[in-house]
Amino acid sequence: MTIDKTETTHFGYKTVNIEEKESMVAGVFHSVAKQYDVMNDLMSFGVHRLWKRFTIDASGVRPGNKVLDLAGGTGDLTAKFSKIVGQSGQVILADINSSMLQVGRDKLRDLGIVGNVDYVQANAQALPFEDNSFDVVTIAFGLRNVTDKDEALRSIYRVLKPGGRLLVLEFSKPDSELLNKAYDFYSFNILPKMGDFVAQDGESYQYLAESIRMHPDQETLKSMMETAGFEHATYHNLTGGIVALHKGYKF
Amino acid sequence: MPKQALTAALEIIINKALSLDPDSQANLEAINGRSLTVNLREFDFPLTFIAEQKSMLVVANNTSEDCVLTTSLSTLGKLRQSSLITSLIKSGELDIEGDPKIAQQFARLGEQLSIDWEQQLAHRIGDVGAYKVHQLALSIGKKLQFAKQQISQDASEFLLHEQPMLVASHQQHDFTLAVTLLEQQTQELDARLTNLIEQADQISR
Ligand SMILES: C[S@@+](CC[C@H](N)C(=O)[O-])C[C@H]1O[C@@H](n2cnc3c(N)ncnc32)[C@H](O)[C@@H]1O
Repeated sequence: MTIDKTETTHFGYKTVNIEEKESMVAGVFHSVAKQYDVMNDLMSFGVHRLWKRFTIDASGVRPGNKVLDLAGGTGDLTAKFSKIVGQSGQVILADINSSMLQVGRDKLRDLGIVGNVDYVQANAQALPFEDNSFDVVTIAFGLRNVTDKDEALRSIYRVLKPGGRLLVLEFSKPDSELLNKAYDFYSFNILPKMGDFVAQDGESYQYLAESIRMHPDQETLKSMMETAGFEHATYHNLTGGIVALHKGYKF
Repeated sequence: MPKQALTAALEIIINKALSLDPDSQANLEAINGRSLTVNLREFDFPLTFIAEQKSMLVVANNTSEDCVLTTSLSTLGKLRQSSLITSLIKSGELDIEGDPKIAQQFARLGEQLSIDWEQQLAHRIGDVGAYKVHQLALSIGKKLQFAKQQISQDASEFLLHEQPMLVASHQQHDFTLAVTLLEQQTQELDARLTNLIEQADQISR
């Protein structure tokens, strides 16, 4: 697909040029990189750790596997994968943003995680890896920031080995109205204030809240995965559907 | 996510014990990079323990390629006596795939740490409860019967002790109610204001 330069896309609720979105997303993550982990704990009350554990357990990753932690940011998933795949395996932490990669690299080094982890600056839409090279690809809280999600899904499909699987952990649509309401209130009123207070960056967190709402719901993402070629696509709601884990295979 | 809450709690308990017992370092180093998967008859999911240089990672899947044990909680304690292993296997109480030495090394470390599981788990998941998370409908052996009740009560309570920032579901529920109430009150206030403004308009006319 060629991108028409005048095409537009969403940046949160704003409609912007495709090119503009990429640099705006970059701006958000450059500005939150340093406080990212603290904010994650605060924003999710620590539950994001359980969501990530769930993802690891569902990945079926084994010693010796090659794993791509796409949009890996500060490397929470990479840290655990690195321990599971062991020295005979390999984990690649890929992110489009150099600040996030830098924070991730420093954090993992401090945790003593070296040897089987590589860091690559890459755009999910055009992955710089050979066809059929990974057993597992994860993208946690990353897909909603990607401009062309279909292209990213195709690119991920290409780099997966036959038998390999993709796990998408992402905010989704809560399955109850009440929860939806509380969650809306939280995301639009409290979250940006917290972002302002802790990270002195309310705007970035306003964007996060908006981008969460613009993200495809469970069924839509599932069919997008199927269109990209994934088989046995399924999803599992976590915390009432605030977050969903989608999984699909390449055969 | 009760399984994940359980593995998180196990990891916290084990790693705290490791850090409190410097003598455990040698035993831990002996198994650095090794892993053990345990299928407990009482659980409907496997647990894998992965040893690292200074800590232990616990996950809820069967990733170990070193050694896989299938057994029950009560038999687990007998493992460290190597003389018993053959008879345990013969009697069907224990099944080992892979290297039994690894299982024994993990058992030795476990014995050295002498964690009082009953007390530790009770400490972390006890005296809270109020909510039922039914997903973890397991029948844990008699010895850990208390844990079963407590685990199937909201497992996320585990983390409450470690992570005071985690919100309990009743708090979440209260919050939801409070939001709804607040919204109603705002609407009422809004209606009253509109009314007042209209009245004021009429008076000033
Ligand atoms: C919310 S963070 C998630 C980080 C980490 N996976 C986690 O769960 O904590 C989103 C990440 O996606 C990255 N990102 C955004 N667009 C991307 C793209 N097109 N390709 C790769 N990474 C991207 C951002 O730089 C950011 O680090």
